[in-house]
This record gives sequence, structure tokens and C-alpha cells, in this order.
Amino acid sequence: MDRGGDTAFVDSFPSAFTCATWLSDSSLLLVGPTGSDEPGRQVAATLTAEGRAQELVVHEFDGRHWRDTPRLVIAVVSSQALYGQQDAALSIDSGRTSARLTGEIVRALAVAPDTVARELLASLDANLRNDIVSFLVSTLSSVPKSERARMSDRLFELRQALRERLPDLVNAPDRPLGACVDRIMAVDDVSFFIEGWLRSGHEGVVRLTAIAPEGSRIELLDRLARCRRSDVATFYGLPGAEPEGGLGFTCFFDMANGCSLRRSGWVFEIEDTRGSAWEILGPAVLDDPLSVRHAILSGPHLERPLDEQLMMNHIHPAIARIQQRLSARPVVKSIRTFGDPPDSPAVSIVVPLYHHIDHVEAQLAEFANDPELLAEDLVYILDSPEQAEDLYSRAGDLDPIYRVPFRVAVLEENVGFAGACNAGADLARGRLLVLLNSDVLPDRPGWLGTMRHFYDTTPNIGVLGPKLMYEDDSIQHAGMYYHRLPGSPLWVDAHYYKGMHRSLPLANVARRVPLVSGACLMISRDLYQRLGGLPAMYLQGDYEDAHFCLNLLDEGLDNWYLPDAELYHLEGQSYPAESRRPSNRYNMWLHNHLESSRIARVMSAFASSANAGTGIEPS
Amino acid sequence: MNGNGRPKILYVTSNHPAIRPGGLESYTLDLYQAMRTSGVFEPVLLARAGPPHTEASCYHGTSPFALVSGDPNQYLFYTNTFADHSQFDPLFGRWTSKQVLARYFRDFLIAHKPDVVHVQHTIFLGYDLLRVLRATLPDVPIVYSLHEYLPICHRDGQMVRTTNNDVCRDESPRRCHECFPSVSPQMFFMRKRFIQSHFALVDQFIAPTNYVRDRYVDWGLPPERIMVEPQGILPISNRVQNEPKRLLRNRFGYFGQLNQYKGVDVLVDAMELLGDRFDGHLWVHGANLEIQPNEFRIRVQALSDGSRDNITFAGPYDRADLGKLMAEIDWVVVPSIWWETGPIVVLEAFQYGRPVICSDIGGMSEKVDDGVNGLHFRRRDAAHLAETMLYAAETPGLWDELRSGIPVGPPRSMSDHVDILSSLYWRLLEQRQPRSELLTMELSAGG
Repeated sequence: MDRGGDTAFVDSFPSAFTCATWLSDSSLLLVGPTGSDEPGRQVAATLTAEGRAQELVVHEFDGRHWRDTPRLVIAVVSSQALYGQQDAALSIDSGRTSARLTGEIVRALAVAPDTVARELLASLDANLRNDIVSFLVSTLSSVPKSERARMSDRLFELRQALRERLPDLVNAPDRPLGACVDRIMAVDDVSFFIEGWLRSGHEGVVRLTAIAPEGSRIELLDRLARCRRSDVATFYGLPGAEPEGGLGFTCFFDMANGCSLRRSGWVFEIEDTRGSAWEILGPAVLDDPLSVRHAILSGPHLERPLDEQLMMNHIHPAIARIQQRLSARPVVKSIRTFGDPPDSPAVSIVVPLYHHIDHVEAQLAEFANDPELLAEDLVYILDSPEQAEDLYSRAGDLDPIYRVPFRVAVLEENVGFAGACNAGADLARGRLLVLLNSDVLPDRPGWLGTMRHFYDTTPNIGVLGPKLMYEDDSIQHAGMYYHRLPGSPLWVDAHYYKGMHRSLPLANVARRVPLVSGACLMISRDLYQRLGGLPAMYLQGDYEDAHFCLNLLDEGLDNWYLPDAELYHLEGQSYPAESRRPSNRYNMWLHNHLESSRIARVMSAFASSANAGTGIEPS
Repeated sequence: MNGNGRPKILYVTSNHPAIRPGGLESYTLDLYQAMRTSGVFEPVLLARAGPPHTEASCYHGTSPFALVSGDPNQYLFYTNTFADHSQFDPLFGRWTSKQVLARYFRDFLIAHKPDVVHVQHTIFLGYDLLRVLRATLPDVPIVYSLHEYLPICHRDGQMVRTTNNDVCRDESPRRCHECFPSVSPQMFFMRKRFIQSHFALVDQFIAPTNYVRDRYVDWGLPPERIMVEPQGILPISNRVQNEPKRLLRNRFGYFGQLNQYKGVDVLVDAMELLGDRFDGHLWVHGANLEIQPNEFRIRVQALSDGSRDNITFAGPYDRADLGKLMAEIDWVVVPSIWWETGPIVVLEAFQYGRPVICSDIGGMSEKVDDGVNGLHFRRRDAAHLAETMLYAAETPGLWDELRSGIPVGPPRSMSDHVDILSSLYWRLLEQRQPRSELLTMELSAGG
């Protein structure tokens, strides 16, 4: 190997390290000769410069089980520090041996990663190489975040150079073994969700291993959830029932201590009982959280009734992590005030906006005729930030026409209904909070004062909901309860008297109810914030209001329905019906998964209370 | 009040006869001129400019106003100077960009300071002009004339169902959605609430007939705020005198836009049924066939190609020529399928001594007495119309008899109309209560 540099220095440390390569700006891989040290010793690394010593993170490859393994040490040290400072030196100490490498030495030893791969490592045993790749990958999380993407690429190069290639698996209708990975989705950097299919053939399959682009290996066979794939069955000419519970599979997996940042390069190995093995290439990784979420909820595995195992082990963990990513404390990017805000508003009306910014004008046209409303604090929260410019421009136009004072706050990114409401509550100035959907229009002025009076004079009140009507004057909401679908253990939320004319006597009685709709509700702002606001784990605006009402009931508070306040709820225009369904099923499952015992208790308390005889069967 | 002590009345409308010679435009201009002649009030006319000619931008750079031939009180308002046509939302009746109203209309109001504002139409201006008006001039009464059913009905204000062309008397979000499946019931509800929210600011509505008033009351306008007052009709001066006597009265005339609501296709079908053997002749005076929907246009054009001897498509006409044109025909046919709020053409026909053959509904059947001064035929029934036209052409003495039954003078002359409106304006001025809203009088900077 022609390295150039000062061979005198190298001869001073003949048995320490023979080669080095930078995996990233802070990750230095040092390669030493085979058998150069006692196995099992703790290794330590220090950077000394300008008289100071800094202890470094260091990893050593454990090659105890291998003969002829080179010594591999990865030190997390900044190349800038090592090369840039005059007297900088890296010391690697593992008990019996210690090596001291100045910046110049390292510079002399450093080569490109694939040189290391080709010349030092490529001749080793295939399984040893796999182990080495795993070792390299395991250090990925030690480097600064900003360098990980580049290191991923480097690791990918190394993996490609060191990985033992297997024959490509060819799928054909006459071949009993077949497999394909159709989709790989990044839930986050450490967990993934894949979809594909596997036909195990006559011999049976003993191993399905996923190999991440950087080299991590994950055994998947025992974790797969099977589902039907009629297209694959057709391909193989298989009649009716598919073997093994279905030819298709889905799988959520966590990389334990690893991570993978590279969005292409996944490979899958399959081995049968006779020891023959093949590989298939995986597709590029989908990683936009909203697309991933949508894909997980609408994949073929969800065609049949919801499988508890599938939900618990795959769908829910994936979605929960995505929700966590998406709903970290919503950040308000900008706020503007239009008109003169009232001095001391008692009520803050928070209206989340998602796409339908045209609803603002419709609401302002109603609010402009309502003196009660003009004295309170009105806040629109935009949860589709790509419309910010458009909304601000419209608000500026509408303000001189309607003269209703209001604020517009734009969120940094889409966070969902719960996040938007919570952000609005944080901005609220009044002691009472009204959450109002953008597609709710008051029937006539006076509703706000009526609700406020009731709220302030009713002891032990949690949340208050008014009567909401469809555009044809039939009831959309008169309080809500839980209802069990026949033959199912699942609770579903339901509306009292939905579809009846607004004047139905039973719907015109103010009373306690289990739940109130988030489309319009009034609550003390302190209470709302003390309880943490609407929970963020649900998707697209569904069940968070029910969950929140359960929280209030748990506090010993009452939720009330007040028919004297009447508004129209022109619902369903935010999300088209079809796209609602996959998330609705997930939300319903999640709500039950988390709350079914609470729900049962609440409904039995209501059944035995004054509400009996309303004609509504609670279960 | 202005310097000479006369209260100022501002008429706001959506077009001007100088740009588009139509019934509504003519009425508003006639009213404006009659008001001026009467000398009690000082009228100002603000007419939105176009269509057509809406592409003509204003002459003065950044001002959308232009004088109509030197009259200091008549203005054209080129709303599309700052927002193009596509930015007007016809469903809700509003501009998406509000600069037109919030700045320019407001500036106009402040400059002219009317004492009463009488809105004739808001199309291409926006219903929300009422709100700007109220906010800019809080104490000024607002009068609003309802010339058709546009606030109620998205089908060009005709209240005729798209499903089967029946007259609709029963609007609801569901029924409107049936007529326009691409618009949801919720959108129709929001449209209605939007319009009504602005109508809440109007002090007095005027409906031309009881039927129109009933439709708006059903729709939700407070009954005490709508009065019935038909359009005033000017006396004519161009009636041909000493018309020659004729043995045969088989000449028919149609006057008006060539669209489906006016029943032109029913008339065309009737002529088809009558065939080449029909002795009579039909003159069709009117325009705008080219902007009608394809199917209708093609059907009508098939008859205008000159292959039929007994139909003449004479093209658009000038009101000034009406006397001559009326003298050349015997009967005026008004086959409208919608519940006409006028129609003025019936009154014009009577002014020229022509009996009317019309549909048996609406403003037509109210003004024309079957067998007295005209003949009714069943709405949309081409066969019955054909039969009626044949009867009219071939019955000796019928024409003279019906002509003698024509009432003398219109239901409302323009001078009576001016008197009634003037009393209304005085009443509103006297009842005026100061509003609690603040009025900011600063003019926007610039021209």
C-alpha cells in the first residue's frame, strides 16, 4: 500500500494501527493488524491538545469469536480538532498496549473507506464481514446529528463492499418460493413499517432478514403479520384460501439500538430449510410522516375487520410514534391582529382552520351582526400553513368590511385538530374558552351570552355544548354518548336525537350528558389547560373531544348540553368522507384500547341516572 | 343635505344602457332622469360598467370611475380595473378581493354623501356593498329593489328547476343541491346566510308584484320590510298614428333576449308545429343568442338560417325604434317560462296598442286578461301556443276586440312612481335614527 507520509513515524508504532479512514467528520476508524491485542479489554481514547486532555467516545470491535480478525477501533474525534491544532494527538489505550497518533500520523494513515474495505476486509469470512458491518453501524448514533446522513452514505459504501452477495430471488408462477417487499416506510429513524408478500415454498423458510442500507441486520420472519393478497394468489394460480394466513405480510419493526437514515438500499435475505439463500432488493423508503401515516392506515392489511394483534403490534406502535413526531408542542409561526381587540374579553373563541379559509368570511358575516361577539376575543388558528399568505391577505381585505376584531395565528406545520385547539388556548385572553369549528354558523345572536350565563351559574361544570343543527334544521348534536355496536366489544360515539327536527321536545331539555362535541364547546380556560387540553394521539379530528370529556368526568365534573344556544354545523366539508374512514377506524380502536373500562363505567353511571327513560339505550 | 337643500338619492345598479341596452338598465336610467326632472331630490347614478366592454379599463389610471357623457351625477364603475371577472364569485354574489368595495366604493360614498341610497342591483358589485355602505354612512337609509329572485335562486334568479324546468316555489338547501349537484346543500345554506346577513342592513325592500314579495317573505325577509310597488313606465311618444286597417291580423312579434327562460324555444317549437303552411309571420327582435347554452342555441339557429319563409330573425333593436317595429306586427308573444317579475314588454305592447299572447303564469298572466286584451297559452306547451297563434291569426274581428280591451295607461306611470318613491324616501329620512357606529371620514390617499 502506497501511503506516502513519513514512514519514520509509522515505524515508531509498528503494531498499533496500520490504516485509518474517516467515516464522517468526527468518526475515525482505525484498523490494526490481526491478533494485535488481548480480547475483552476496555478501550479508552483521549485527545490531547494545547495541554488539555479530552476523553472521547470510543468503540472497539469485539472479534473474540473470530480467528484472524483485524483490530477495529472507532474513535469519535473531530477531524478539525485533530488536524487543526498543532500539538493534537489521539491516544488509544487498552491496558497492555497504547498508541499515540498525532494529527500527522493519522493524515498519513488515512485512506478512503472503500480502500479499507477492499484491501483489508474483503478477504475475510462472510459472517465476519457481516459482524464488522454491524459493528460499524452501531457507532452511527455516536456522531453528531448533522454528520449522520453523510456517515450513513459511507456506511452504505462499506456495506456494499463487504456484504456477501446472494443470488437474486426470481419470482415466477411455477416457483414455490417467492417474495417481494412492496413498500418500506420510515416511521422515524429507528423504526420502519414494511409491506410485501412471501410464498414459502415446499421447503419452508427459516429466515427473512432485513438489511438496512448502513448494514444493520434485523430478523423479521417471526414478527410478520400475515394478510391476504389476492393479486399474488392470482399470480400463482392458487385457488381460494391462501396458505399461512395470507400470502401478504406487514411488519412494524424497531431497530433496537440502531438507526437508519439512508432512504434507499434496503436488501432482504431469505433462507430456506436446506440452507439455500437469496436476496431481494427493497424499494426506496417513504418518509414523509403524513404520507406514511396515510399509507399505514389504508394498506391492504386493513381490508378485513381490524385484527387486534395487527393493531397492537404493528399499526398502533407505528402510528403512535408518528403522532409523537407530528404533535410535539405546536409552534405558532406568526400572528396578526385585525381591528381593535377588546380590552378585557371574558371569552376567547378559538377557531381552527384547515384548508377551508373561505369559512372565515361566512363566520364574520354572522359575527358582524352580533354585539356580544364583537366584545370578545376571536382567534383563527391556521393548521394548513401553506395557505398563510392567502389567509392573511383575505383577512386584511375582510377586516374593513366586517369590522370584527380578530387575530390570525399560523402554525409552523400541520398538527391536527387537537394541536391547533391547544395552540389557540395558549393564545387565549379570556377566562372562558370556546372551541368553534370553522363550519359552524350561529342561528342568531345571543348564543354566546346564553352559554356564558349558563356556564358561570352552573356549579361543578366541566364542558358545555349547545344544540347544533344541519342546514335543514334537523339536529346534528344534542349531546353525545357511547354505544356498543351489536356483537362487537367496541364502543362508538353517538349523538342523541340526530336527524330529528330541532324542536323535538326531548332535545330541548338542558341536561348532563357524557360527551359534548368539539365542534362547539365552552370551558374555563384554566380547567382546559390544567387538564392538558385535547389529547394529541388521535388523527384528523376525531375522539379527542370524547377523550377530553372522559377526563373531565374523571375529575368529578359534569358535562352539560344547553339547547337554548343554537348553531348550525355544516359538517363534513373539511375532510371528504372516503378519506375519513381509515383514520376513523384507527381512532375508534385506539380510543377503545385506551378507554374501554372508563367508558363502561361512565355509561353505566348514566344509565342509572335521570337520563333513563330518554329512550336512548346506552349500550 | 347638499348645498341646494335637496336630499341626495344615490342609485346603485349593475349596468348602464350606454353599455347594455336592457330592461333593468333602461328602468334605472329612466327613474334617475324622472327624479331629476321632478326636482324634489338630487339623484346620483352609479352603474357598474359592463358586460360587455368590461375589459375597457378606466381612462384615468387608478380611478375606476368614469363619467357618462358629461353628466356630473352619472358614473360608470369599472370594478374589473382591480380584479378580473373571474374573481367574482357568482354563487355567493361577492368579489373575492374586497378592494373594489372597501376602498373605491367607500370613497365614492364619502365624496357624494348621499342622504338615501337605493340599490337596484348588486350583481358584479357584491351583496357586501351593503355592509360597506352601512359602515361608511351609518345614518343613511338603504332601499333595495328586488327585480328578480337572484338572492333566492342560483339559476340566474329565475326560480326554474334545472331538473325539469318547472317553476320552483320552495327553495331549500336540499332542493338547490338537486338543481346544482356540484354545490353541496351546506354551501347553499351558507350562501343564504351570507346574503341575509347583508340584507339585515336594508331598511326597505321594494318588490314589483305581490308574488315576488311572497317569495321573499317565504325565503325569510321580514314582511313588514317589503313593500309592493311596480316599475314606473314612461309615456311613449313614438307611437305610429293612423295605422292602416288590415283584414288579416297574422303578424307576430317577439321582443327580448333570446334565452331559454324567455321561452324562445317554445315559440320556435310552436312555429315548427305550424309549419310552412302557416299564413302568419313571426319577427324575432332580440339578441344574445350566441351566449346561450349549446343545445338551445343550435335549435334556434336552425330556424334562423333563412330556410323558413315565415320567421325573420331581425337582431337586436333600439327602444327608439319600438314604435315602428310595433306598428309592423299585430300580436306580441311573451312565452316566458319563469315567473316574470315584469315583464315590461307586456306594458310596452299595450302602450303601442298590441294585444299580447303569453304564458299563463307570473307577471304575464297578471297583466294580460285572457280574452279581454290578450290570450293565454299553457306554459311551455308549444302545441297550445301554436293552436293559440292559429286562432289569433284566423279569427276575424278578434284582434280588434282584444285591442279595445287594452287598459289605458300602465299600472304605474313613471310620474306616479316618482311620487311614491319620493314619499318613501321622505318617510325614511324622517325616521332616521343615528346609529351607534363610528364613522371615519378620512379619504384613502391617492386617486
